[in-house]
Amino acid sequence: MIDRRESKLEASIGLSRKWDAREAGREVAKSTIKDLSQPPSFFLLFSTIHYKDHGGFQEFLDGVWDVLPEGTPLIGGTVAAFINNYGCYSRGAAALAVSYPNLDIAVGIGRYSRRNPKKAAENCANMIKRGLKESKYKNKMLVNMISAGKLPKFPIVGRIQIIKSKFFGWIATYFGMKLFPLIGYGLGKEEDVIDHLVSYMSDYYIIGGSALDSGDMLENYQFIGNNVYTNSIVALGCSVDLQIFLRSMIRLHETDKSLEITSATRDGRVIKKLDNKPAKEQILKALGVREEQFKDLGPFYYRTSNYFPVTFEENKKYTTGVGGFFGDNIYLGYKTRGKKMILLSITGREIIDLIDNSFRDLDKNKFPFIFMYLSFILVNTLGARTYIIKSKLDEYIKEIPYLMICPVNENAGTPNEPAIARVYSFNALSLLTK
Amino acid sequence: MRDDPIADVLDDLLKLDEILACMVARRNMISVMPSSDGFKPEVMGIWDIIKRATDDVFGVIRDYSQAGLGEMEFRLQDYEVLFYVFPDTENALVAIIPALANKGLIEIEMENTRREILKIMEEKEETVTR
Repeated sequence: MIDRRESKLEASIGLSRKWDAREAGREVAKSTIKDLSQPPSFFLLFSTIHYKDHGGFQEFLDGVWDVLPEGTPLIGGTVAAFINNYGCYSRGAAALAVSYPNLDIAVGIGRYSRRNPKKAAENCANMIKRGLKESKYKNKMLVNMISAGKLPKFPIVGRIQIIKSKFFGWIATYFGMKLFPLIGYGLGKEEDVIDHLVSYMSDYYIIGGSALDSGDMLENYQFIGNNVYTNSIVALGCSVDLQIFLRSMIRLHETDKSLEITSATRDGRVIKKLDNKPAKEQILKALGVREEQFKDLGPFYYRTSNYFPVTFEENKKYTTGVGGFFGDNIYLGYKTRGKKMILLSITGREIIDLIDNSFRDLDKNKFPFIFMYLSFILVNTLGARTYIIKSKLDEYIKEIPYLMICPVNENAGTPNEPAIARVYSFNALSLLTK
Repeated sequence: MRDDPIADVLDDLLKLDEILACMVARRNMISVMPSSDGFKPEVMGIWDIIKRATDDVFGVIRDYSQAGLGEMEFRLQDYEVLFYVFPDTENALVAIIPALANKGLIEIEMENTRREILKIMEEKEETVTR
């Protein structure tokens, strides 16, 4: 817990490693607020997916509210992992609470974000703008969690991320992509949600990410108040008299492999042809995967290709990844942002560099807390070496309460550089007390 | 074994769906097993062959742990076996996971388990020394 006496801002981090949902909820709330001298102004709550089978998320939230003062603004969601002052975890619950008198808070939700991302963003933005209408503080920030893509899972067939049959691939491209969102599955369309959100909230510092499970992409949950949702965006808006700090970084390097998108559909999310040849054939060639290897080890190469993110020559700030295969087509996590697609890569060293580059020049005395989003794919790549990130964070900000959560996609931006949704990024948020 | 704090830590690890079996072991000897449900049924079918391969790996661990060998792993059929060696010993935390699991996330919890067990071992040593 840190107490900036001159600004009366207190921030604190909590943790629970209990398995029982109710007990974990109570413990994470208790450990988070125990050192605050004032009730929290807001509470950001995150957990791994495991509580679904150990009491359920409603029970988890009820546990939190057994302890948390009534009416505390709360949002959060499920993440694959998190790192905080206590350690690195891919199971458990963590929270950040901030207490400060000179701020106003409003929370918002937009349901059915994959079915109608524009409406979801609009509803969420309106709730927050209404809630902060009377606020006299000029600096505004917004923390969000959005439902990530969810793979449909059917009996016998299993989860649908790779459809090898050309016929069923065609069905999935032209009908599945439309139908899946109606039943709560399919791509998360977070880039649409964020693009619309920015159009309503251009004066906000925005940071967020996509809720997921343990990387299987089968389910995810968002929390707001005492309610658990899925297929939604939840957000916490804040206007405050302090300066807002937001840093967004990406440390991927371009490979020498690039491909021309010559035919695409579904808003550019499904690529049919690359260099005028079937997209699957071309992407496997670029990845060095033979057709017979792909046939035998589809899931393995799906996971491998996930580590080959892509960007676009015309818009290099955008990144996405190969989400899967529909027959001869490939689908991307986000829509294309240009005609020339460049394959990217990242090394373990570059992941660690993200932390060095972000914190090396910071005066830590200015920060009462640091709240971060780091792509879960990067953490999954590092595995047990994730503790190197923790050591780096401790090197720079050990005395500051910090919480880094690991969603599957991230979004961040400022009034000067509007927020975008992308993958494999690192984003950090704080308030400056000096 | 029931009151062994290391067994409690292993119980915690085994609760993860993707940990099919876990133990603290050395060559030809399982030192501590989880106290609760035991290994998950899917791993029992190939337990004998995994056990033999594991014993062979412990030969390597014995020879190189003093030189700083920290981790080893092998893939057998549809499973991977991970070894997290306790520094300067012939003992390792061993876990069997599905071959296509999100290994990075599992490794984080394996590392947490190793750290917790090390702490317990150190506390035990302190108690004995006193």
